[in-house]
Amino acid sequence: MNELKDFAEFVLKVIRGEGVDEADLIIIESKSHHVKIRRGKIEELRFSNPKGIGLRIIKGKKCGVTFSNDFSKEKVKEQILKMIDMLEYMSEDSYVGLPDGELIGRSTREINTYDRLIEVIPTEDKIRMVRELEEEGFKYSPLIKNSEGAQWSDSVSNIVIGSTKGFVDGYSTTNYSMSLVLVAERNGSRQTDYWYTKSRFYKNLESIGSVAKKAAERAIRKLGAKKPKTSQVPVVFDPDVATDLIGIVATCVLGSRVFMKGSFLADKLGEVIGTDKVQLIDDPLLHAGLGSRPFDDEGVVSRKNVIVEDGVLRSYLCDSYSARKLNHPLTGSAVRSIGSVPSSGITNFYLEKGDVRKEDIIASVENGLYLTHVHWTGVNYVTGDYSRGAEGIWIENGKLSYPVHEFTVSGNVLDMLQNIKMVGSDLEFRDNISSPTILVDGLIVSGS
Amino acid sequence: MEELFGITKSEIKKILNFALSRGGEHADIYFEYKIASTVKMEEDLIKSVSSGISAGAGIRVVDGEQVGYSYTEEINFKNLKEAALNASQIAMNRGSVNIAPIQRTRKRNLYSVKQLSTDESIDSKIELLNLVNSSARKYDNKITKVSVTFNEETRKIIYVDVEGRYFEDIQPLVLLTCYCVAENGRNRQGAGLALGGRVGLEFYSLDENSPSWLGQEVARIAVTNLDAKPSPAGTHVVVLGPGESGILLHEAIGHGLEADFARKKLSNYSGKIGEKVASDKCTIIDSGIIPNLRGSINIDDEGTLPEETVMIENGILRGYIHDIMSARLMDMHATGNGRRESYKYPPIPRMTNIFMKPGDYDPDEIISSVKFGIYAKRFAGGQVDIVNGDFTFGVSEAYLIENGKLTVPLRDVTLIGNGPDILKKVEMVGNDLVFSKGGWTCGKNDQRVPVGIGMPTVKVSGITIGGTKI
Repeated sequence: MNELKDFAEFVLKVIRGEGVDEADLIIIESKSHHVKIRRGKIEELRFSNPKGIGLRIIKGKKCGVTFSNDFSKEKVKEQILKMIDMLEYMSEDSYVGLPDGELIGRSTREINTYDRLIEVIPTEDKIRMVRELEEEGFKYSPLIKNSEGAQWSDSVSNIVIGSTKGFVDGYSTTNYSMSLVLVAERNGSRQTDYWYTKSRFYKNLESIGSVAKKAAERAIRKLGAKKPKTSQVPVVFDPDVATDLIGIVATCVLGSRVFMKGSFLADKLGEVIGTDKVQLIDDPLLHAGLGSRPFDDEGVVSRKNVIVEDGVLRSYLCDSYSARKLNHPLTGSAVRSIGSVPSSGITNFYLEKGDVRKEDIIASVENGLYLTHVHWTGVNYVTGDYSRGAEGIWIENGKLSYPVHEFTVSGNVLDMLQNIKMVGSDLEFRDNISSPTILVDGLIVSGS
Repeated sequence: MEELFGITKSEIKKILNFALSRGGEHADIYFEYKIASTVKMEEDLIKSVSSGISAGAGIRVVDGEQVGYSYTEEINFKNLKEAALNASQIAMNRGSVNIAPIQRTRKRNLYSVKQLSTDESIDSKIELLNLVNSSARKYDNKITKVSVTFNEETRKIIYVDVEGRYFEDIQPLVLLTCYCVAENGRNRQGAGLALGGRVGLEFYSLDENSPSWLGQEVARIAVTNLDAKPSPAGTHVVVLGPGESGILLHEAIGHGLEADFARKKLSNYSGKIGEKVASDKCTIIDSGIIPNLRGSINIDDEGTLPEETVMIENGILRGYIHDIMSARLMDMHATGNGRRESYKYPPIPRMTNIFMKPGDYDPDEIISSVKFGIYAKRFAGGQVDIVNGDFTFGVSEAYLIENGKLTVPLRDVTLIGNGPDILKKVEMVGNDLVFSKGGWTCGKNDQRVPVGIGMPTVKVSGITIGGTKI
């Protein structure tokens, strides 16, 4: 880490020497292992250690980014000079600039992002664990006939942010994940499904037995799926699909999308956008959260942001450019890759849990759909129109009855937020977007 | 090679020896040096430019069905040796392979350009952005936001393997993308479209690829969709427009014919060669050899010449597409479909450009044969479940067909169905094959590669439409 910080100091010194007003940079260095086992054999073993630097140069309100994975001092210097030349061709943009100096810094809140254990787990153990994961999946039921494989991935990353505002700091993160994809077969019906677990800490991963059981159960419960009739019904969103819906809202509160009017939530600040059951939060300081960080990618100190409170849209998520553009407070939401200018993004974005048990939500539906999967196409972010290919289980008299597939679920996200009738108590932070089970009334299911 | 990566052929031979030190049947090294840049115009301003270099070398060891892979971004003998030893962990001391003398491998010449875009001045790219922007704004005063991006990359690749195959290739790829928002006080709609290929900037001087055409076309779709009506839900006749609807072939059948899925019996087309899997009107081809298309390659990423593979001929399944590993394991010949995203990944069987052979019908004749249905003109993307063939597509421009004529525009149409079912329902195939010049990118095993798609106008007797109007 110290070596990376020293390099950041060196690059900032070169920049200052060239008479540049403002600049900031991101350095990402990681190391990761990936193991895939299929039908008991290693199918793929992959090692990687990417390292890159991205540098934003601002001169006279003009902005350019240069990036490299070559850390030789001469190469980086050469690229800086080339970019300064290229800036001549850019337009002046009065909103361009670094964030205010007083907002830059590190959160004093203790957030755990690094697990030391990652340094000592041998490759053989990882192979053994995924092999066992797949075996457990096959053992679960004779209906499990094939496997697309069990996978293990882990990575450790060092991130350094530096800026001409006198800031150079870094943090380290670890990441583990394990997943299994199984194929179930019965009477000519073949279905596939998966389950995964992901965490910053090894000890927080779901057990092998539990991941295997869920992957198998999910594939089996889809067997013999029918096409449902076209109708308008209440729909229970399983946490995975609810998370996908919350993810659409997350995308649409990003400042960089809002000022370009690429969001159905543009011009809606202060308005009621959902029922009073809807509380949406983005919290980079969540303990051990997969999106947690002490400062954002422009060096702005992290803070918890309440986005929707009792159904009212309270805040967008802004990096410094979109904050200026929208005349909105800075939220510490800058994200960037080494090759791009910072834009707005999420950290740990979630729908606050309610007080109804999942079983009670399902039991409240007389005739409707339990939605277990949606395909990724079919969202119009500008209008909020939602029309997704989907899979699920039909609910009859409050009970899960038979699997359904080859249909779409349609509505408008704004209407859906205003039709959230129940919010479950089953919130789990499985990823950096999370939601409990929800019930949305009156969606169109389009089938036969 | 020595100039670009500072490594000699004899050192490479030593590294391949380390890669095979624990056994294995095959090992290769893939060097890549990529120059990439992006210029973006938004709200009439040239807002940002990004430019940089990424380089690295990946080493693969193959042993039966197993692959070991490791890469380094700091290319020197020590790091390559470490990467080779990491990748070798896959093998278990099963004999040794002799490394053949390194010999240059033949390749095609499919992307000759006047000058590489990355060597041209930034002025010429800014001019393109200005032209797109102004033509979109001029189209209609309902256009309130325009964003235009130019992306370019040049990859220099060197490949060497234990069989002695050796090649170098320089692959250009450019893409001009326009996105517009239209507003009329009541509604707001967005539309986007991209234009490019393995070409130089001269591509944009042709009338049909002109920046002003792009700006106008995107503005037209955004404005048209302002008045679009909700789509009727349920199963209807669908006429697929030429070009972009090739995404249906890519998802509904192409992935299922990639030999790794077929070999592992994960595809619903596994073991069906010689069987009838589509209407006899369907002949579907994967071709990596069409000049300048996004999915075309002079040589695949493991040294096999790309070719034209007839996957389905008049409805009969003829073959899968292979990399060298699946070809060896299935005792078939490699079809030049071994592709990878970058030095960070091993190659896997991937499509290049997939298309349907044109038929005899005039497109107007096809539309006029439909009493009530949907005309799907432009597509936003799609996905498929390989195991059972279920797919979904997002349609970004669509119209209702009533009594043989296109009537009202429809918004946010989603098509859902099953690949094998849909191909059996193809009733008419037009004589107007078009290849899309959009920025189609395919994702598989976390790897993204550029691909091409092509399709004539096609009538399908029934596809389920997702909509809000029952």
